[in-house]
Amino acid sequence: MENPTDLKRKPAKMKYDFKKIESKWRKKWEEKNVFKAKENPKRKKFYCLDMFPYPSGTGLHMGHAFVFTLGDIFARFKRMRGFNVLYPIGYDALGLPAENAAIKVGTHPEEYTKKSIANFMKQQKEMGWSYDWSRMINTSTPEYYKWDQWLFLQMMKKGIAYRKKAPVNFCKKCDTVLANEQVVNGKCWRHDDTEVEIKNLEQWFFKITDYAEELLKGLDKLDWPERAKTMQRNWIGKSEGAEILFEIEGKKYPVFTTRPDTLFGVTFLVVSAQHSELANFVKQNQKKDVEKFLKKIKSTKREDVEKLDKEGIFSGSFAIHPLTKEKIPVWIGNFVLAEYGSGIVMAVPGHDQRDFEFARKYKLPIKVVIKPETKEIEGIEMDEAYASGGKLVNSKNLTICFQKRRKSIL
Amino acid sequence: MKALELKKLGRKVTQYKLRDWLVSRQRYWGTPIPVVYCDKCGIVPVSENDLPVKLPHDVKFGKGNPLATNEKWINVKCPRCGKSGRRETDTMDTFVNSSWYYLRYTDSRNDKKIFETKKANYWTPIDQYIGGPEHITAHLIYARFYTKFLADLGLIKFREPALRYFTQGLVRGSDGEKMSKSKGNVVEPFETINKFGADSLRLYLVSNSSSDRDFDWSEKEIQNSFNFIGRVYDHFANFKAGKSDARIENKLNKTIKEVTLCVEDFAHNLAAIKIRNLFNYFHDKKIDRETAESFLKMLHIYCPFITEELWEILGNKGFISLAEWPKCDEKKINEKFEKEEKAVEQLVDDINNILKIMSERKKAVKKIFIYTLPNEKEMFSGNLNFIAKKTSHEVRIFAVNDKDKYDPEKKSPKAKPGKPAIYVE
Repeated sequence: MENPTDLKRKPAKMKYDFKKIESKWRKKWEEKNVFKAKENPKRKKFYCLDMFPYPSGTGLHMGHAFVFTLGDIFARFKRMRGFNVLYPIGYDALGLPAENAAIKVGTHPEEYTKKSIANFMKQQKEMGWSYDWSRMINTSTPEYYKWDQWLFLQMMKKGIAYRKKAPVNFCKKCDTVLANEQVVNGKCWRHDDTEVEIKNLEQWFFKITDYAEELLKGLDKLDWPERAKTMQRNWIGKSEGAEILFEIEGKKYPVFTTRPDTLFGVTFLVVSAQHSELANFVKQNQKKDVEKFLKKIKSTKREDVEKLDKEGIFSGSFAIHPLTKEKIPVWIGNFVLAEYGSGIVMAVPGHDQRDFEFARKYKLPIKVVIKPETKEIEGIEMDEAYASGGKLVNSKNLTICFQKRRKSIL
Repeated sequence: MKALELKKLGRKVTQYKLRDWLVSRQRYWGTPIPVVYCDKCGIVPVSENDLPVKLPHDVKFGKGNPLATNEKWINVKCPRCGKSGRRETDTMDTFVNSSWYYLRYTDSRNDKKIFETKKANYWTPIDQYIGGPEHITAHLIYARFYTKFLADLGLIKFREPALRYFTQGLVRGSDGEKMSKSKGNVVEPFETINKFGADSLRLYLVSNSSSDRDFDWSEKEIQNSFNFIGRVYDHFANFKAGKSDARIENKLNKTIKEVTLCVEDFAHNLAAIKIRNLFNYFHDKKIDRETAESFLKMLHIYCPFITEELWEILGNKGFISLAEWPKCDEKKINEKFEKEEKAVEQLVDDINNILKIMSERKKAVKKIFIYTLPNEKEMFSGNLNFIAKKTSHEVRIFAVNDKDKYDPEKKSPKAKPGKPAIYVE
């Protein structure tokens, strides 16, 4: 008996000569400029775009075939639906992979790129993607990157492009510095076997942080996958808090905290191991131990902070608590990011789990300043930090100020 | 907080994890940073009239920054004081190039300006952007930043680069692993096109699963797409138009309606199934030219080549690529037909299940008898040929109240609305 589903899958009679048909229509589309886009204010436009490829020497891979097919389907669909469709293509041709590949095969990156693009174009045309080839761009041509440079000058004028010495990510294998966005789990995005090193170098930066709030707020209006929006929100990482001035060895330093209500619970401060003024905090008697410690720890990246084994060393310095005027020790830690806040955090082991673990490990005092309504807790007996709400204790005149606020938060 | 502010010991602040973007790279193959260092003037921007600062061709690759090896290029007069200066040898991060490229497309041959504002404002922002999820926290942050900066310069009138964004899944090897040379599971698009054609590859790539999901490569499935396209070609290469009946018009319009929604949503796998179902439905019936063309138009976005060919064979002059997408005529959608189709398909399934059981018991079946409720006899009888074909058996249909019906085992009382009783012999 013939399985009924086989009916659907009966093979074709093979008259279908796809090679002949496909090359015929490729030529016709090109000859008649079928997909050329022209501005026409009377027609409703539709701009469909696939992220342009880096033209590698190995040509198109299946991932390209998939993503560009999705773009082409959409462009064709919108074109047939009556939109004036712009569907262009180009090549993200500059960059390290081309430079490295060229060196490897003993050619110049320019020749390598030219060849790769020619190969890409040929293969892309085979796929029947309906690009407007007349608009093609190649970022490695001076005609294109001239405008990168022009924009750079505009950014310099506006103070958006600037040069400064800062702790930066450096990949040995790439032999260059990297942006934060190019460091994945503390490793280089191109070399997942290479730990990124932190170096203090003078470099060019773009002041993208000027736009942080708008980058965050703008997401709400976009029709993007929710996951993508969440990832950007987390990357921008907004938090509201307070900057509190602590005096360390005669100089005042701002310390960022999201929990100013726990100020009376501060029992020590932790400075980032990459802090630019680290040397100012290290006392002679601790110098050797600190140097040993700094050698041992690896660079700290924001992605690993949560997973990291918290380690620290006493700097030898003390800070003055702004309210109690008590002397509190200043530690150096591997879990504080130099670039977050001021690179110094106040530790409240009674009410922050990370601080709690650190305090237990290095036998630092734990002070309770918020108690649950129903239970008594003491620093010495605690198994973990108490991070929830309750009433303020041991906080003198702050108590009144904060009670109202905490109630409204919790 | 107020207490601290009063005592000038602290202040309320908002903190972001986002850091300024480090853009300099100590490598050759990037955009040169247009800056000169002068002992007297410090950091001096290159004059706009002297752009572009071209990458010198002659450099030595090896240790360190290759640009530092071309002294002739490095040594340059200070744009401000005219004394000897040195060019910046750092180049820009390649993400700089990709941060605004979408705007250059709107006026890519302009050598006087970055782009004509009027053109950029007509075409952009991007209505649909498509690309991998790995770019969410890099390229897409940078492109949004550039857009805002360009808007602040007054060059464009919008502040977001892409209104809608879709992230595609990953095509894995047939072993379910990421394609890689070391695993030997790489399938090259070019080889596949040579074997099956681009239309088959395209149709296959979107037929698998929802396009935002990962899926495993399957040679069998692409063969399937190839076979389908072949059947479509055979069918229309010798097409003779007839008249589409109300059922076909119902099916066609319903398909147009659903496919349009699916495509808008990137649910291409569902759209492809509906297009195939439509073909399977009409391929042994008479259809009119409009039905044929509507079908080809829907298939076109997936299989552009074969549909252009068939469009021409049908006698059309222009390109199907520029034809108008079919419109759904709601008046021609008839839920009665839908119900009927479902009931008939269910009956076919039921019969085939029985046949399967019989064949497992090694009992031969010669004839199939169906007993329907009196008001449904006409509906099922109208599909007699279809049922016979799908079950590959001779089928007879009776209403339960037919006096002269053949019903030796008294099966007919089991008939229910939409679900006839079945007897096999």
